Amino acid sequence: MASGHDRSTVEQSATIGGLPVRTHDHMCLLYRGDEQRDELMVAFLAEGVRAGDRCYCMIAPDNARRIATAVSDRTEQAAAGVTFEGLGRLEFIGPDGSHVRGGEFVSDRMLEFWEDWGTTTYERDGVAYARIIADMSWAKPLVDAPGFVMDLARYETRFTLWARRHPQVTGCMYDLDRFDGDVIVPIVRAHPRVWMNGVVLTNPYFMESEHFSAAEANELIGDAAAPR
Amino acid sequence: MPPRPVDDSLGDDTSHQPFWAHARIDGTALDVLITLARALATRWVAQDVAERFGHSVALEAATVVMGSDGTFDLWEEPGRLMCHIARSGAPGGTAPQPNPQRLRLASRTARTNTHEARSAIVVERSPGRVTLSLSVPFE
Repeated sequence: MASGHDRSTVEQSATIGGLPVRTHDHMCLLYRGDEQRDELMVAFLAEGVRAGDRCYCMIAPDNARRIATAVSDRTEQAAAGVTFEGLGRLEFIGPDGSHVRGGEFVSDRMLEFWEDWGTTTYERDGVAYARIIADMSWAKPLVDAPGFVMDLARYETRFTLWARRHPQVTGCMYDLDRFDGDVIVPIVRAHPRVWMNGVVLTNPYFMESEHFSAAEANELIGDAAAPR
Repeated sequence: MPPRPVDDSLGDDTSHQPFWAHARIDGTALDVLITLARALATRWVAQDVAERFGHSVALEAATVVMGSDGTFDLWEEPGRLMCHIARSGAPGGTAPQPNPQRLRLASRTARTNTHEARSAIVVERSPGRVTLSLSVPFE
């Protein structure tokens, strides 16, 4: 289902946690507890549904129903006073079908997942604009697995490159009550911008990641310098 | 509680990309500064020292930006973690800038528990700005 309107050239296209974000942005959201996660997620998704966006929510199945209900309630409340040309679509997927498909996390496999998802969403379905939000709590049991944190950081870093090529905004959510500094610090390093309780952290060393080739870094630098 | 030992075989982060976090702040989100400073420090020093560093950062930030706003920078250098807070319009130049030549703190010999006793928090205050450093084990 196409969302029906092209907003890919609009500079500010969404808000996450009250922060204006732009097309292609890949934000890390550091939150505390399920209540704050739900509020951030529902606000982001409801805004997208109202705007006619394709919304993709990655969260454990036992939480998906609650999120769906809250988005629906908020969308209906908003729609009661406003006429919309068409509401967007909200889809859910759990970790078993995405990040830990096959029982383990492999960054290259997950990046292939996104390539396939992009082909389906933008080329086959003709979606003009998408929002992706992912609760990363699935990662907690894997933190002590050999190489996991490094591969997760590589994935997050390279996701930014993929996100630059598609008309979308993305939020990755990490619970500060679940993850300690050994995860949070690499994750902050792996995102160009981080939201934490209303404060936005920027990372001037983001482009220097060893997970980018020189050409890829130049591509990102060029995108960042271009007016959006 | 001692810091968790670094071990490549356990998959800890071994990036050579330096850590640097920059933000505009006011007096309403000091919990963010505590959390971030503590998270960075716990990678290198004992929990209680990291807690003290986080709270020192928040206390100094509250004093500097009280009734105003400013900038917050947190980064690693060889042998120490650095935090700089400056009130908007403060005299004495600009906030620290990332130095491409700056080495990341990471070192295979940098986290031996026997050196924890060397950890110390140093606070340097000047009008409208403050710099805190936490020495960390580094050889």
